[in-house]
Amino acid sequence: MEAMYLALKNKTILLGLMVLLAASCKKNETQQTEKTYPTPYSLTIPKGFPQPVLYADNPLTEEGILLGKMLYGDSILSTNGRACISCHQPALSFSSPMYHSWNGFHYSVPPHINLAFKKAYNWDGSQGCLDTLAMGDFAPEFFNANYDGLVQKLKAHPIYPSLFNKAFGVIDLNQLSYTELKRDIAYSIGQYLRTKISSNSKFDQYRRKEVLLDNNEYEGYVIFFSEKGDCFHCHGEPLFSDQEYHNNGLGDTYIGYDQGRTMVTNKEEDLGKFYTPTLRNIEQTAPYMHDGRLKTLEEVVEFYNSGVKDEVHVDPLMTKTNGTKNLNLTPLEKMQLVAFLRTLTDKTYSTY
Amino acid sequence: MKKQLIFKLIGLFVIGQFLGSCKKDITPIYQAPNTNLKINWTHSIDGVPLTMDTIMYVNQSGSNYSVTRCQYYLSGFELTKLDGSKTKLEGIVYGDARQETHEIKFNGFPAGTYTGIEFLIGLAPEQNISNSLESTEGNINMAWPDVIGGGYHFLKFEGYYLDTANLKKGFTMHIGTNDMLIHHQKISFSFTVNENENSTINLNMNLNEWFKNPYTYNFNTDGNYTMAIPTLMTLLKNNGSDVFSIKE
Repeated sequence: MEAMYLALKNKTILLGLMVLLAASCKKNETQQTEKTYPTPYSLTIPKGFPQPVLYADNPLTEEGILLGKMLYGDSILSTNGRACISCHQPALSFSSPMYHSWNGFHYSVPPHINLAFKKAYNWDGSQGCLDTLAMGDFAPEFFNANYDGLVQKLKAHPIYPSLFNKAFGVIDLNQLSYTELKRDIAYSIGQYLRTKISSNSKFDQYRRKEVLLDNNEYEGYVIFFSEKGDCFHCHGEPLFSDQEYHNNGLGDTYIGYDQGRTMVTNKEEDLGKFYTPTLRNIEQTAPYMHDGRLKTLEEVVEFYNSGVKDEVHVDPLMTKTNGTKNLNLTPLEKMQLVAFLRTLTDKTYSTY
Repeated sequence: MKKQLIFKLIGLFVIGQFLGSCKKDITPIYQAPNTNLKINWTHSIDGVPLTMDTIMYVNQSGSNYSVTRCQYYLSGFELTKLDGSKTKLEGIVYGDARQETHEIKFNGFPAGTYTGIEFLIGLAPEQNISNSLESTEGNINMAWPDVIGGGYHFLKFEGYYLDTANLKKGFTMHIGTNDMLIHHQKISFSFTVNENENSTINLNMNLNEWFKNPYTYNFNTDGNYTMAIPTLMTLLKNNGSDVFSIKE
């Protein structure tokens, strides 16, 4: 009986030890998991906004976003002192105050705002994925980067090696090919940019019934969202971009970059079409139009009021009530429309 | 004695409650019929499958035109039974002629033989409320601003046409606001929906029907822009009641 008791007792002890061992194994496993995988991050989507464009191979993580944020502002990526923020200046809604030249053509720098919801990038929509967008910036005309120098600088940095490890499991930056390194950098920047969401302009606050618009702003709002100004068909809420391509009547000759969407599709009907830019923070993102030809909001309103060219490729939406392509706004109405456009500025957004 | 009576009454009340709750529990749960109906549709112009962006069509008034956009909502589907009564099918679907496939699925409605289908092009007033639909790209771009009535566009039909001088011009035929809701006439045909089977109806929208019957719409004389012009929207609304037909 005693022997049986001892045997049973021993079995109980053995069982207990096994349970403890199993638990401790499980604990170790958990610790390992926590160590290996970065911390998931969830975006807060403002009411009325569409779902963000996310890809399974680049999930948002706290470590990836931090790495992207640091790299976005760091000239370590270039050999010429440039960083992303050189052309995407935080104080200007992450855009540039002047147009840039490329292959002899001008183009204005699109602001980095609410990119999480965009489905295509560049004026002609030549890039379809935010995650790989920054990979093009290592080229000579931008960062003029080189692999060896970049790896050396990143490895010597006190924080980056650890962040690459935590965000993407990179043990040694030397083990990445140049393409892999650029991809991880671009992925992290893509993650960071998805967190840059703007939904707190005066107009947003007005829509949330937190503030009132003054008389001119309100009249401008009515012009914008009625056939009087007819801006809303391409620049509707909440993104103030329909995410489509339009020929808005800027010109009648289409060469080089001015060919627009045609450069991507090779279709004649896409001649002179460009991706509709957001009007959020538009006050901060001059110069305007794809080539930066217009310097002020007043010039923009005057263009739509009287400057749209009656050309065969111009979007049908540019046709107005009187059959022409003019708005025929009075000076007061033009001023009010500009006043409304200024209410789209989110003063809390331009922080890096 | 009085005490006993009180106890008996309380006892009866408790038993009554208990029985009542039991009765509630055994109420049979309604099980919807296992019926499944898929409605597919295509876009054509007078029998020719639609090709976007090319001036290759001629409308009733003789204008050559192309289609660059045709977006709309279908809702308020109703099937007509043999006895003339209607079976409502809840659902809203966004249509875009540029997309390759179009479908809406219904299930859980009575099986039987039906003699036709009708629906709305647009949204009923209780559904035509700003921001009431999911914030998809399609719904966002169909928004009808609050300052001009709110809700959603029912139809955006755009393209180019050749005017009387053979010059290429744009046209934008937009319809919205509750007054312009299009009740598509009943499309009559006999079909049977059986339980545990999948049924399919194939429809087709002939875009040229927007420009005829009852009114022959002419871009040159009526106008190439319907926005904020209720008289022109009404012409299209009336023409729109027979744009769909059964696809053989």
